[in-house]
Amino acid sequence: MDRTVYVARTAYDLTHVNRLAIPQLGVISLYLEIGGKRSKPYLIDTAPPQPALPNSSDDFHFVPELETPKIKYEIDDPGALITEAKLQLFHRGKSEFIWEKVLTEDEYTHGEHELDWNGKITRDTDFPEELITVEHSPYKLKLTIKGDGYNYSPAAWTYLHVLVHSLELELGPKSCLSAARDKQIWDQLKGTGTEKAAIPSGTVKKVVLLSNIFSTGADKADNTLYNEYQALWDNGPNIPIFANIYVKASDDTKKDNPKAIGKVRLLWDWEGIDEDVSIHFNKAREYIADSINYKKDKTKPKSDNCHLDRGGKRGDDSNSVFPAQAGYGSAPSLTPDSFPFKVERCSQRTWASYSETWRDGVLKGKTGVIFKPSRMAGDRYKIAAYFPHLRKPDGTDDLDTKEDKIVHAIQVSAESFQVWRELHLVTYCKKKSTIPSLNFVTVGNYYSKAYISVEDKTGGPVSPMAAYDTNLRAALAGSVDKTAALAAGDQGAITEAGAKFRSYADFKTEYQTRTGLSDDDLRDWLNANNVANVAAYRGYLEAIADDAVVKACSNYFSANSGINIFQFNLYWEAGGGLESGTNGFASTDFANTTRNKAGFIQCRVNYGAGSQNNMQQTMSHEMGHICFLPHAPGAPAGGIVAELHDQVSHWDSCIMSYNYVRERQFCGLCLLRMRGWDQNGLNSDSSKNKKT
Amino acid sequence: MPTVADGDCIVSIADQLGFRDYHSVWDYAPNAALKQATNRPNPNQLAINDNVQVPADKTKSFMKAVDQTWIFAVKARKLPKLRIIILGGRGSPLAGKKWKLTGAATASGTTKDDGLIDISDLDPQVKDGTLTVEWHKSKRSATKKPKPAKIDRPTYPRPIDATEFEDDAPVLPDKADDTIVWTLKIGSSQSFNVLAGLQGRLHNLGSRCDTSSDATATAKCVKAYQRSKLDDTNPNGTWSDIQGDLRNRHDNP
Repeated sequence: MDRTVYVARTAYDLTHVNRLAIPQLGVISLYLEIGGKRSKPYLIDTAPPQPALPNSSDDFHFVPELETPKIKYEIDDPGALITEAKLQLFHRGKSEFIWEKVLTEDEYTHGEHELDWNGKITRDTDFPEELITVEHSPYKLKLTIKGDGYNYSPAAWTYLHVLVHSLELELGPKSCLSAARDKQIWDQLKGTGTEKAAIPSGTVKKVVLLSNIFSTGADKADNTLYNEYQALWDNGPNIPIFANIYVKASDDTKKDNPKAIGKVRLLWDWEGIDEDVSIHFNKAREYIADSINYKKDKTKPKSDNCHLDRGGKRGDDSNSVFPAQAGYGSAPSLTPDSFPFKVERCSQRTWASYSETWRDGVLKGKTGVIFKPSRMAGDRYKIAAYFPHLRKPDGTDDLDTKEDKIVHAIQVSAESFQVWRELHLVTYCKKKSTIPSLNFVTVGNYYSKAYISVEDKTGGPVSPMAAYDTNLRAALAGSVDKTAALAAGDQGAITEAGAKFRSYADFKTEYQTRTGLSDDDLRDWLNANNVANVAAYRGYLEAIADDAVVKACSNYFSANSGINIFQFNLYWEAGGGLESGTNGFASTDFANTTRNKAGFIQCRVNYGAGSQNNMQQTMSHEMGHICFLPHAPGAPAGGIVAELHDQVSHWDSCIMSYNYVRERQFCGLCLLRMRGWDQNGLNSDSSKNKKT
Repeated sequence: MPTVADGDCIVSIADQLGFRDYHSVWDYAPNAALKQATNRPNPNQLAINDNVQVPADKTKSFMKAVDQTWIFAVKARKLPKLRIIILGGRGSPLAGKKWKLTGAATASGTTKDDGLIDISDLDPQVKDGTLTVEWHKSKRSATKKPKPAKIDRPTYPRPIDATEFEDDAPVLPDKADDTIVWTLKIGSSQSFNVLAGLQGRLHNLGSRCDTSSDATATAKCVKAYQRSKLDDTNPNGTWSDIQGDLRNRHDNP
């Protein structure tokens, strides 16, 4: 360092001096301040140490744009030596500054200075909103000076953050779904509330999969239910779940400024909730407890949900609850029927996924996933989104691990979603309003054990059944003998039964009258048609009813998918005290029966012993058939499939049996099948379903 | 009647004219006005183009017998000193620093506790010299790369890991700057109450300002002085406002 100076001689008798000072300059401090909080100032190691700045820390943060901290700095330049001073902002992993302010002469004079700064920076690909963001936080603000002297402290710097305060989940927009069935679920989840209210908080939110799929005959034992349900709902519904990310203000309160988020990733995770098997009676509880325990300790996350081997998603690394999405990047508006965010599967935490926020556009500061739970009714998911405490400069983090719990993150969770099936009751015809109504709530309770919601869409019972007489007689048209059996009068009015027949004696008279047969010929006809006595006449009338009443009821089928119910007080009655003993039955002989439309006839009112056998149980039984359940041991021979029910030695009173000695309840195997489980993996011996 | 030129002072003028003691000139009655406190109170700090009155040559005659031995004692020239105090940052004296003077005289030593370098018997006619001071020993640790922060349990926000920032390290002063070489313009320090005198003093005290600075540059440096030395938060840059204070800070022993 060379310098020319002007010095005076000092006469021999004088004492004055020349003071020569080393020309020096330096930055003494640089920090940010707002609300009494300060960032911590740093200098190079060789700079003179400065006293600690009160209330300063490396955790300084604010909300860009919404808050305006002051940049405070002090410059030591008594000689006005500085020729250049600039503030520059850096983020990790990048040597180039992302923002620069060249200070004016007035801004770098000796002494203390302060500037207002709200986080606004130069527009850039990484910063389209011209604000610092969470994405690249933390930041380093550096003041550098140059000058003609000994620059003992050429730079000072300080660190600042844009921090996430919290996350909030909401139902994503309906427009990002393409399938009508998914949009129906969206409507159901949202209801009349807000998208945020659609996310369960401290409650269980049902994800209801409408599944009016019914047996059409001999398909109760061959896993058709599983296959049809799989065909209907495949790997589950698509539910858009979005996360709003809030920024932490300098006073640590929550602020909403999506422009200050940038492109960050959230990890989406789920955990199982222990199934509440206490809802079941003890035998079903044992069966289900064994079955849900299948390989429980070998799958992550630990869960009671249906295992891959039983058709579920637990343990299926290739079938994520948060499937990968391509997304379509930031845009000023949403693309209909398309999911906006990029979602990638985790490499280690194979059941979890990362989603990426938009830097700008209509969804800036947000991200989300498609939540795709399995279709298995009863499966329950506590989903959570995590923002990592530790984000590396390249944006990666330490959350992608196989550890059970994620702890180093800001999180939000939804407690919890549970998959339910939904069946619709679409028609409820009562022959007469005087017939006691079926209690659908009681029936629904039996099915709720299988996480099936039986929804009454009938609009209430319809009585009387319009034009019933016409429909009934039309069903028998052309058959002289059958029409002769029917009692005269309006069948819709003269009886609460499905049909009223003549007494055996009156039938014979009527038939002979209609046909003009001689007594001998009549006798021959009765013998030939197995109607030779009263007992045979009973069977004859049952057969007529099976034809005529079923056909007549077909006229009342709803156009909608679901179950049609026809209720009588007795299937049929006849003069002479004859009546049917049939309680009720499901039939695939209804003319309008399809895979999605079914019906059954309930035809007795008060029977059985107390609550152990009543019309609600009959209805549940018949609906069981409609739902692909075969008879259990104890029912009449011919339709029993013992291997599709809990072992009799364990539970002999499945509601699909005819055993009336105790209250009948669906056995565990019936419940799991109705939940959608693959029957091929289930054994009637519950102990064999448990595999650890 | 000499006119003061750059490097002149009463001492050098008197010496050049053969006066052994500058007082012969300084105290010469016609210079009384020059000596006024408001004018040029320091005989070593005049201003260029000042006029100095000089008495006529005083030839002394002695009448002595030639057959005796007489001893004539001629008073020695009373030589000036060069007194320099070295200041470091914030104006504090630099003590114990090695220095070396060449040109005006050849001397070396270490600064005293008050930072003083005191050269006696300076040739009054010498106007140039070089003073070299080893004033600093740099520590180079600032160039070391910081160690990565150890983070066992990440909190939020996580502790700052300075190694993750890749901006250029600050440019540290060159090690060569640990030594300063001052080219001395001896006698060029003009009176405190002329602009050049003020500019020179500011320069000596480490300011960018020097005798060639224009009004704007000078005002900027005056403002810096007012801020740094006078704690003036609203400096006006008027040089005459600081001349007295500057004189004291620069000249007073």
